Amino acid sequence: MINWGAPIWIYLWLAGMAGGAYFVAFLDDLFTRGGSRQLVRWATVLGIPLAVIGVILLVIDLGHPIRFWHLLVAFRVLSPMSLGSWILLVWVGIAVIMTILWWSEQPLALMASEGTVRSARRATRFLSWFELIFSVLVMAYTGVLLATSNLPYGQAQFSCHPSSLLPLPLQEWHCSLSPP
Amino acid sequence: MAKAMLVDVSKCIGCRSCQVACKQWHDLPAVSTKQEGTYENPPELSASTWTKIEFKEFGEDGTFRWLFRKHQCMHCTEASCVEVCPTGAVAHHDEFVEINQEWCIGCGYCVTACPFGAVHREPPKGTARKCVFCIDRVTNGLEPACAKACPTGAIQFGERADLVEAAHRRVQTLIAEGYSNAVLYGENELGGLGYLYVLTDRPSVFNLPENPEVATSMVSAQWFSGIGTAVLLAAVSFWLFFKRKKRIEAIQQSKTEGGAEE
Repeated sequence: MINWGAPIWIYLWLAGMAGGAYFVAFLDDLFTRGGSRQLVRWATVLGIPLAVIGVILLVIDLGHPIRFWHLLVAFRVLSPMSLGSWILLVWVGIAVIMTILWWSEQPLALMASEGTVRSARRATRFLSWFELIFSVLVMAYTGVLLATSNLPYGQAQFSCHPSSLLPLPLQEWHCSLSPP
Repeated sequence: MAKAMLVDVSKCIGCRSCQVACKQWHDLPAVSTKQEGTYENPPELSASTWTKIEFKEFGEDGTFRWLFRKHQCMHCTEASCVEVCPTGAVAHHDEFVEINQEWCIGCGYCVTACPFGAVHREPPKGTARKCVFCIDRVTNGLEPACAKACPTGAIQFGERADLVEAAHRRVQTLIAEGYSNAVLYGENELGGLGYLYVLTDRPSVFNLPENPEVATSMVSAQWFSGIGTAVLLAAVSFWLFFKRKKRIEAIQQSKTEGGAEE
């Protein structure tokens, strides 16, 4: 019996938007050799509130919202939900650090030496690649989470949400393995 | 020695003493239900109904057949709920699967992962709840409440090895009596279930999955395909971008060449 309602699929959409916006913006910037730097910044900055609102919805949907921190004192490799909570934490964390580094670019240029400015820029570049990997994980983990279940086929079709990056045939094949 | 339960559906009379005993021992509230034209009640397991008898009615050419099966958590060895639990609240204690009610955050993942639909999460508790194999009774030398209450011996508690042996003998007897599809369920399913069933017909007739699978059996393939799709998307857009760039360059080149000729 599916017991995940509106907060969950709203979250799926928000997280898909946040992760997907960064993914597309980063690739555009990469292919145009830095021609879309501003797009990456917008995607990162706007992704933070989207992801945070999504996470708040997830926490609200818990049977015991106050206990959400139990997720962050455990690390369970086989549980996509455990991995997902860490993925979200890292994704938002990197986004915040990158935003701070961007915002501090101008004040830093006035105050600090050229070397410091350059190393800050290099750190941002390095983080942006990490963020790309985690944006893929943010989009993909929900699909893994929903496919890793024993829901009957009819309900599983709702679960195998298009916002996940998984190819649908594989989802359906997996879902069809579970009993009617 | 591993303990287990043996449910012999051929001995069940559908009296539902086990349901009542379970509710009483665990102090679970009653559920308000509607009469749906069957003696089966309540209609499904829930956070406050940890065991129930499933009724199946078959009628062909004036004949009538009733099948009863006790339904509850199977206490699997390869338990999907244990695997998917993000906090480790669901865990094995010896051979029993228990949900730590103080640690469970109520995410509901185990509810969707269970191949038997035995775990439930409903208000007012908010945590996932299910049959606990009467761990309080068993660790104090008593049998579980449902086994104690069963008047026909359809629910037996004991050493797993003994029960498996007894169940095999019972299945042979049933086959000899004309139940040609009689089978023992739970001996090897999911690494061995804590609940063994002597069934008079195929498992699917009793709403049991013929080949239950652990929910995480495909998890690495799922991760791989998710990440693989992202790589594919990136590769395709990369390819399209450079194809377009090349074409634009070619057009520009032909334009400048054309201009030179004029």
